Amino acid sequence: MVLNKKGVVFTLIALLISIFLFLLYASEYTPKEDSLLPVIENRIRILDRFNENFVQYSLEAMDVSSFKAMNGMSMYAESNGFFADFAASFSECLQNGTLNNGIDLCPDMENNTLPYWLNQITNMSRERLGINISYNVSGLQVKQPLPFDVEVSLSMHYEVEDIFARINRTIVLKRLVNVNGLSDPLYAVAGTYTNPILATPIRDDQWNNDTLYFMIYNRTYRHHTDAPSLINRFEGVLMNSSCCGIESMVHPGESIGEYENKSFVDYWFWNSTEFCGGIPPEAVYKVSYAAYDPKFRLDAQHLAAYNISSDKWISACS
Amino acid sequence: MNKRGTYFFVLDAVISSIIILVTVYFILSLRTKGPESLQSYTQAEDFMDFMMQTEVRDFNGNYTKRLVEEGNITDTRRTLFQQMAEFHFYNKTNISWQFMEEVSNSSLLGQQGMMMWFDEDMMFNRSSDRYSKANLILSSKKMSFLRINQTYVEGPNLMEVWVWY
Repeated sequence: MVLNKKGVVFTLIALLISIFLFLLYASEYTPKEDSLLPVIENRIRILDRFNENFVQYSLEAMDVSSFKAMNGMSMYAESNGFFADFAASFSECLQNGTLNNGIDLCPDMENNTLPYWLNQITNMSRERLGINISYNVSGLQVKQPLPFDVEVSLSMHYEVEDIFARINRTIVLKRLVNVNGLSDPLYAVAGTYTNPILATPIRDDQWNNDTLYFMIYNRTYRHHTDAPSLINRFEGVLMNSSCCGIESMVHPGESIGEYENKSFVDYWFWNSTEFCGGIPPEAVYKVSYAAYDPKFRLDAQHLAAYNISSDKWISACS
Repeated sequence: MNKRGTYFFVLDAVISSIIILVTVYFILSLRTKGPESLQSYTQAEDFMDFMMQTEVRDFNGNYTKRLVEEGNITDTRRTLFQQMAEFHFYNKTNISWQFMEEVSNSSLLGQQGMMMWFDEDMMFNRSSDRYSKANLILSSKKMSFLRINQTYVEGPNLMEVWVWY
């Protein structure tokens, strides 16, 4: 018997050591993560980044599409006149590519509507990234807070989803759309030629004969509190806008028709306003500056606004 | 000790050794068979993040500085990612290759390989000879778009990066 007990002593010791090692290991053991977890975490991170990208893209799409919509409306106005409700027409053109309640196409909006741009990304993400996007746009608003910028905002509810996660959000997209380069609807409707809006680099304290000359011949626009805003111009309402009024000078070198008693400030000129009082200030003035085209005239209010003096007023309308 | 006793003694020693060895092997195998670290999985993703979050003006590379000085990069507030999209749009393949080489050298280890694709076009390839022998290939895909002017956005396109060891 003694011999038999001695015969398994190493085995018993080995078993004890094994149990000890297992216990030691078990005390330090922390359950390992599910092997898929890092993949899922990474995938969620990718989806989150994609979501940020989607919002950025939507803003850019809104910007491009808004500019195209306004330009299309300006082209449409050239043959159809001013818009009774700029915001409603803009919304229709931006979202549907149509005007006049779907009767007419908004020019140059094929493949440029907001849904078109957004569908580009939804198609691409579904086909190539395995990410599904669904969205719904509502509450489109447009207003003008600055002379050369139109603010477009809308509410977008969207879902971004792949097999691991889903992001469900409602956000407000808001963007200032710069209107530099946009065809001025006032010229398009009432003028004899088209004129793209281009903000002048000249500051308010820099006006004189030279800078006004620069403005005329470079066809640029300045902010002026007595002038109508861009939205006013779309609606043909040539009232002043203290925040956002813009004005340009009609170019004397263009074929502009009757000009004798008109101020060359665009909204006066194209509104066919004649200054026929015959005595100042109800008169227009020629500018005593050699470089100017002799046709050029300004009303008294704008002589002051541009820091120019002249006594060559025209007596009266014939 | 008689002959039978010796036999049991040796058998006991052998069995105990086997038990110890199996135990140690089992414990060691449990310790080494964990999942790959998250860092490994996210190498390509991290590289893309670096590209998307670093502006050209914040990237300190001699070649990049030269591109700015020579006018090949006009907007240093663009990210490295956007800059690659711009190079692709204007078909500046040679410049984009060298630009990417500098960017990848600054953020990947020497032995790591990398390929970059812009839709179907390969924009850059680093250490392609080791691609077939790679132990682990990681991929990251990102949507790319680039505002070209007031009326046009280039994209969306797909930029894809492969990183391997």
